[in-house]
Amino acid sequence: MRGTRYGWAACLLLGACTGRISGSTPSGQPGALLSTRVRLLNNVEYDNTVAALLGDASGPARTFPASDPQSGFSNNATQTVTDLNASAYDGAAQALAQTAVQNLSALLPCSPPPGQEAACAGQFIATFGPRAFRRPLTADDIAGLQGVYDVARSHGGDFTTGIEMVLYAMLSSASFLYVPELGLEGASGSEVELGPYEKASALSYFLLGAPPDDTLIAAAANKGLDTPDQLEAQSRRLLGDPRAHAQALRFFTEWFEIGPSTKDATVYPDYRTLSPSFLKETPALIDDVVFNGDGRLQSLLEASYTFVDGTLNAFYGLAGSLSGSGLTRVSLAGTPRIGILTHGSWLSLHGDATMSSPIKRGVFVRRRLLCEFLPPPPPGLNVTPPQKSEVKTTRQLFDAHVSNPSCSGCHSLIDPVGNGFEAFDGEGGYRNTENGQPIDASGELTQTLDANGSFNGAAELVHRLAQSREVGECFARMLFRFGSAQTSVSTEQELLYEAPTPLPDSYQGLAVMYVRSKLFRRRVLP
Amino acid sequence: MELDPRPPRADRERRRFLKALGVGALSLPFSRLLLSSVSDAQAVSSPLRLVVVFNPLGTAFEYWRPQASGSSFTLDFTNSILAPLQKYQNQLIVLDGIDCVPEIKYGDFGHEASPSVLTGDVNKQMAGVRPTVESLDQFLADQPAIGGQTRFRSLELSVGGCKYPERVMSWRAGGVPVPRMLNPYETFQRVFAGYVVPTADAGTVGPDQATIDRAFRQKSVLDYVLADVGRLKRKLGPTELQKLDQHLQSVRDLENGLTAGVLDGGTGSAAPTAGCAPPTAIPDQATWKGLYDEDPNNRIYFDSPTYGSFMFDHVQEWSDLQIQMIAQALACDLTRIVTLQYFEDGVDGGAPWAQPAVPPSDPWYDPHVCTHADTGAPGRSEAMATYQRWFSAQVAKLMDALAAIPEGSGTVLDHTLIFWTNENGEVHDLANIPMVLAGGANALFKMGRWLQYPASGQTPHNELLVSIANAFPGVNINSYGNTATYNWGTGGLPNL
Repeated sequence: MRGTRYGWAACLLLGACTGRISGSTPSGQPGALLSTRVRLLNNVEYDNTVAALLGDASGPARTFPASDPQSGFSNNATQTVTDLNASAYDGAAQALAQTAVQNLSALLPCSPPPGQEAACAGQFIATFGPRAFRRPLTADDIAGLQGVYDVARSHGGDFTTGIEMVLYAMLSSASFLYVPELGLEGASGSEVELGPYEKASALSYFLLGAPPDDTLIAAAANKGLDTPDQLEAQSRRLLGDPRAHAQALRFFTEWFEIGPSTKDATVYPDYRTLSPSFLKETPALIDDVVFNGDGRLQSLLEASYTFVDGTLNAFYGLAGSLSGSGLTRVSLAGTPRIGILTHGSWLSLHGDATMSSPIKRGVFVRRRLLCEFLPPPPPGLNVTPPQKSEVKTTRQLFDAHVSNPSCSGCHSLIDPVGNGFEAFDGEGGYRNTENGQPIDASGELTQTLDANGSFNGAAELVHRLAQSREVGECFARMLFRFGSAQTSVSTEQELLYEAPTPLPDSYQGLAVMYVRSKLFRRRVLP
Repeated sequence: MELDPRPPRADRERRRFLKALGVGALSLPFSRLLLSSVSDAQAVSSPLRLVVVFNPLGTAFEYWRPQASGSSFTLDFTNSILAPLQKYQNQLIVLDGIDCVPEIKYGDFGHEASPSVLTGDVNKQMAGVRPTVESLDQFLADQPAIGGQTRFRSLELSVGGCKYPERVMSWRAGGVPVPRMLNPYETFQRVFAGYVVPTADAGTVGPDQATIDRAFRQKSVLDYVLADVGRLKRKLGPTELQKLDQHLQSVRDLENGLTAGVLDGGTGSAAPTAGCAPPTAIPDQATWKGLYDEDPNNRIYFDSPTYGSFMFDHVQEWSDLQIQMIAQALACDLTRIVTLQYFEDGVDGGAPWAQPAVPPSDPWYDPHVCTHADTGAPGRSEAMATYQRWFSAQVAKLMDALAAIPEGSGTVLDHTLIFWTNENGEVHDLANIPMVLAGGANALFKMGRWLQYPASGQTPHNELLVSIANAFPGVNINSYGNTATYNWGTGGLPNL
């Protein structure tokens, strides 16, 4: 039953695939660099920045409009300030400033006697400004902020109000809200090297989602970010910062599309109980692989262990019994599960409300692990949904529509991959049968560069993917999309062109590879 | 190229301004407000307002379509989706047979119609293609004589839905989705907090000195922000410059709201309607915080397990609050252009607040499944009708709210055009999308009609966008949408 939804939508979505649909780029050719640009902090970065600057952990961006994603990543360089954002930034800056000046002595480098207040305001601008803007102040900055203070004082404001308005101005300014990638002023020619402070910010927001620390700013001030080796050394230091954990987690959860899902409670009555456990398990494995293990994608895909609480231990049918909501590391040896693609979190989000979804799971592999750009459907294609069935398996329902030639072009690439996960139902539970019929989880990968071949079940599929160089390149491209806050084939071609051999295969290795590259350091001038 | 800053306001405001500040207090940044020569007469007639309402998924035409009744038609019959609008039959045009041609011809599939609704452009999320032109509401908001006259050029509100920030109706040029105000508490804070209804003596009794001082201080901050954004405009390509120009315009709008606030408590109108009053039902901050409680990534999931239950518990209250705030924002002339989006495209999950009293057996619990299903399946049409009738009732509530506010010799409803559209047609496609125009609309449309267009799949809704745009004074366009790339034909909707 319930093939209705997918049979119909999926056909429209994937009407025709002719030839190889991979987005893989030709190797051996240079690609393009990014152009000069200004990138708005996303909401997570905004909150982290405010926390670093003011010690204010209130998280005002929580109620900002949601970040507009690109390629599924919340880092998006095209994000634009519309009226609602402007009003949210303005309101947050006012509130943050108002809170901060309630403890003026913590904020100020001076405690001015009457008559010396203007000098103290100047000192505040000179010391706090560079931290807020993540770079030294220019004469324009100083004059502008001084002007804000002066207007406040000449329009009924006391000293505290003057400081509050200066802080409000800093926090709502473009210099605070944007990460500039403009290069040194006055550059000419076709390309420009980012300035040292621009590099410091780019590096820190990439690896920590937070503003540069004092060490990084000092490196920027002292020619410490000029060479790839220097950038690598700073990157490795930042990857040891506690905040690197949350950032890596954000990358992997956005890449693997981990999050809550909707289930029909009449079909999956226990999903609401399971979901919180799912959403603890996957982050725990990611963190363990990246920070306790080798950081390799292969390790995440092929982990023969996981982290479960009592609920998951029972749901996964693991030996023994656990109680409580704490996580325990357990072996998956001898079970049908292996790695992140057999986690309940991934399987349930890539499943339907009432059944599994070979389509969603197959599409994920092709788009997110092989980096293929699926083509738009042919115009005018319309397909009648299949009638619901109480006797067929999910796979049989989709086999019917794959036999339709207008669907099969793409579905022959997708369904045989997604079918590998058919031993897991819509919420990720293991099953041998469906509607009284045995599960068939055999499938085949086709039209990949180096992962082609048949397999039976998720574990064999996962092994194929984990050993594929094409998947490894996709990992590099995905981390680059996240780090560069944009998606374009031409820049990914440059990334792979510049990549060392062998290609790094860990989170840390690929992060450092990107930071060392021209793509990180240089921009094209328009 | 920079977008036009908003024009100065009417003279009358300026006179109040001078009285409020005293000539000596006038400082340079405000002096540009004195430059206009717009006459007072403009403020006397009631301006046309537009409210666009969108709801997801398909319909059941046997229950959406009016039934013929003599030379007229009726909405009053069993299972009628539009029954809640029966009392407003003479203020409706039921548009039967309009197609989302851009999506049908070039789009991805049945989902994601919302970006096409008001842009008339193509949206292909899977291929990363977004609308390139601005949506109709934003086009009107940018007009100095329309959006430029009010505190907010436009307001974008939402009930439910923010899993996909790109599945919205409102777009700035260049593929920038305009975020929606989801949280009624925040809607209230942004639109009405600190708002003082102008009184007849506003021209003589100005704001107190502390208020004026505060405005001056804040204005100097915004001036600084504008200069600082401007300093980023160095060697950048056109897309980046457009992004910064949009930022500049948004800050200028904030600043204009601030300076107007010094004059008359925040309204952009010299003479708001007699019915102008802040909403009496003030959304409760603690309740609406619940929106964010379960969201790990600052994204509100309609379909997260816990969010779903919050949704079920609060959806009617949510809708009521947003509608009341829209009505008062229009009455106070705080804006003239509003979009109200219910949920978002292709929403999953059930809608217990809008299902038959005795729910049909699974899978009809889920309007999404209903939309996809064979239209002849038993129980499908009735479940679909119940779901859609809830939205119909919300439109009726919006009309009730507007009709309750006196304006001129009638009500605000007489001066408002409501454009209500579904996401999908009968099933999960974009042909024959249920659309309704409603309201008095300054008598610019002949209401009380059921217009039927051929079921050809080729009546572009772009023509309707042209007709709506041209209803506004000073607007005279011949086509809407990405006409540089596609040819949708020209002119307004025939017979409208």
